[in-house]
Amino acid sequence: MDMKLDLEKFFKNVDIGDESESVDLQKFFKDVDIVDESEFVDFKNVRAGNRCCVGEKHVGISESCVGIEEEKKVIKKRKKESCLPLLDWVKSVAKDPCDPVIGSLPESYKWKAYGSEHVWKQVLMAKEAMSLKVNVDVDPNAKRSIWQKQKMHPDMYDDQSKKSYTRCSQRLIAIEENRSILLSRKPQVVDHAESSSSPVSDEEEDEDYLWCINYRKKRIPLGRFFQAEVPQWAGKTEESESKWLGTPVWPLKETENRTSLIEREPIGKGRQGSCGCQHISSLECVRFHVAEKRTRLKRELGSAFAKWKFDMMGEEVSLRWTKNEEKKFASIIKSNPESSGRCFWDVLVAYFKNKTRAVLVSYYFSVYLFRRRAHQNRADPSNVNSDDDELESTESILCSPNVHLKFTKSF
Amino acid sequence: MRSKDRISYFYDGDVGNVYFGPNHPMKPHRLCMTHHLVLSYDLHKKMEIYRPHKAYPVELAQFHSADYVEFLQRINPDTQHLFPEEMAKFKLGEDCPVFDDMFEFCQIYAGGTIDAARRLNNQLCDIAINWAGGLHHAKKCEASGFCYINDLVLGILELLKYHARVLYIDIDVHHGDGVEEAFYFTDRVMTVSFHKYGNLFFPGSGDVKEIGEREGKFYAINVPLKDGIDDISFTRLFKTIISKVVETYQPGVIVLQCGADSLAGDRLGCFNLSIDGHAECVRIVKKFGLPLLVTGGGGYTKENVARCWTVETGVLLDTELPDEIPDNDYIKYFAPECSLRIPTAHIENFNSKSYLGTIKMQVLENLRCIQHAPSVQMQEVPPDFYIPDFDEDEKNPDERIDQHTRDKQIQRDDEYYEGDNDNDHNMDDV
Repeated sequence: MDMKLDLEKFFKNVDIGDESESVDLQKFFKDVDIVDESEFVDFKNVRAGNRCCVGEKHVGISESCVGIEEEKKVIKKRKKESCLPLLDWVKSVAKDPCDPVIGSLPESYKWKAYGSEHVWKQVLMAKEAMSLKVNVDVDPNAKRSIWQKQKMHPDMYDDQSKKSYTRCSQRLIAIEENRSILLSRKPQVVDHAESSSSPVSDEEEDEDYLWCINYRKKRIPLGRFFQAEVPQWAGKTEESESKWLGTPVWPLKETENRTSLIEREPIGKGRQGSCGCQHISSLECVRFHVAEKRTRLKRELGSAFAKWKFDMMGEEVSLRWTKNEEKKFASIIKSNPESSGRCFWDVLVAYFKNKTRAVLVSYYFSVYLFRRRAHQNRADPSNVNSDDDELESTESILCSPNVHLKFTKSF
Repeated sequence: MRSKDRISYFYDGDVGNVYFGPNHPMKPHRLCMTHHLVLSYDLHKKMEIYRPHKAYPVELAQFHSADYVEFLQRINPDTQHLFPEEMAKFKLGEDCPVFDDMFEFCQIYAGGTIDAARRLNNQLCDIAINWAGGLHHAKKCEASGFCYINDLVLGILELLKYHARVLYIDIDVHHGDGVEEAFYFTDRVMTVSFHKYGNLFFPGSGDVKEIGEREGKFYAINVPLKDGIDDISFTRLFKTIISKVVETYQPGVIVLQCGADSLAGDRLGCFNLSIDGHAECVRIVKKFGLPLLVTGGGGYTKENVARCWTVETGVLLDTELPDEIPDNDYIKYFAPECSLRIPTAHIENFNSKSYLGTIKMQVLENLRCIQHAPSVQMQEVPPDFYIPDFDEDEKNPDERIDQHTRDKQIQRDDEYYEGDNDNDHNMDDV
């Protein structure tokens, strides 16, 4: 069985030594800890390159090492006073975890039901005690804070969600189920069930699993492949680079000609409700005022206008496209929906060889989507959406009324 | 209250013209829309705008591994099929596709945050804004959640050259796992993240019990929330926690990630915040009067992203903006109302009062475990820099220690009767 091979391979790394030597309990518990904490991957025997795969392997190991089949017999009672049987058991498990003579553990959620007469329970309790001890020892404030010891150890806080996933297992889920941020779009229906249970009942349930908390505790991986290198603070010794501070773009330099003809508007002025147009809020009206504002902005911004690539934005971008090109653009998008398995973007890039990708993106957002959105605003204002790249629309963008622009092409 | 804050705003004209691919929710073009809207309200007249330098690979490698940076630099959509192992190793391909000009995009948004940090360090401004930044999921050796380079970590590392302690606050709907992980074991950076948690919501981390470890124990704070949180619940919780954090931790500078996917109606989010509610958090943080680095982050309904970050630019500039959006090249995206504010949704708030109370209690309890100004003497912190937004009587540092000792006293005896406070007067030294 693959699992058995993995287990053997794993325990070979555990330094058991001769039978006459005592097992390094602390080290063993650390190893067991790794096995249970399936995402603690920066273990010294683990190569960084395998860290994701290690997680996978260790899930398997964890299950077979700690929770084998529940039908198998539990270990015979051992005397509490003597800890030698405990060590013997640990050694035997380390040597051959799958030896049926050793017996097996029940599933983790049943652990609490078992008393400390079972040697495996004693092992888990010892591990718990040692991990608490290790944490307190590491804490630099341990000496002065008697009250801290009285407090609940953070490990023992109720696990609010049984379904809390460890971070590495999250990656495993991502690998296995192809789950990603893209797919986690508001799973509200399922969340309803989860959230409907009040915090109180969650806590009640979770008390039963207090035992299991250590073993499902999240662990951020530690090591030079995960953390940033943060030096000790010794005052301001290092000089922050004073060279790269950004290139000033605005306000404009004194030398640049600023026309004084620009009308000074108060900062933060909103859109005016009324205007002198014949048909207020018509397509022509909107286009006119947008163009008017754009002209003013261009004069005011001077060199900044081009630096910010404003000349590549706005519906005026379409003026650099021929009618045929615009038609072709729209038809490529329409004939390459996601369902076809083809990517319209690749087709666009391949067809419009004379246009850069930046130009295509700019046209897409400034003109194509913009017009589609304008169409939606008029056709169905309650159902506007410009974030789905392909929208099944009965109305073709090509059927939009052809509005004559009232101003010249060049500024 | 200090005199007018000087604001440095970073923008590069090329940042909005990259395309992640069809149907990918991350649309950098939202940055163009934001910039347009900011300008249409004439906010540029109140601040200095800079084009960031493109961060060099060696700068990116201050946090990220050299081989990861090198791979990002050389991979492109035409050659990615030749490197399946590396693509898998660095988690590129699905959420984090390889697209044209991807590396340049990373250099721009990372350069913005790094330059912002440097300007703050050199005291050339009080507040620095980089809406293109805030990509908080990226890890040291891999991409994650649409993030390739973690500009926040790079910016914080820059700030750490001049400040003993940096506070990082994250109001994106997703847990700020990349930043938390980078600084999980140090007390020089405190990370505080408010996010949706549970039900397999990405990234899956961010439980309240994640509090940091070793030297960093208690220096990570996570506020896990459920669907539908509204303005009142969120801002109240935010103010309580952040006030306590600033009081306890006394950072020299604050980094605020303003992911707009915590807004109502976001394509990937599930909260119910209005723009005013979201912006209230920015207002609360600004009020502390500390040097402040503000970045963008998530936000997948681009019109709302533009609205949100424009309003927040206004907040940082102490400028109230009228609701009617002025004419601009993107006006139709804001139609039919062309209004700056957005309505909240009629959805249920699954965050009960008791749940929020429990979370708050756990967070505040963890905060009590931190000694004031860790690893640095109290005197290091210039007191006039820090203006608390609460009880003014607490300004005297001696009194503060007194309060702390009193807390300890109560905890040690494990009693909570007010009468115990009388014991303090009999103490020889306090």
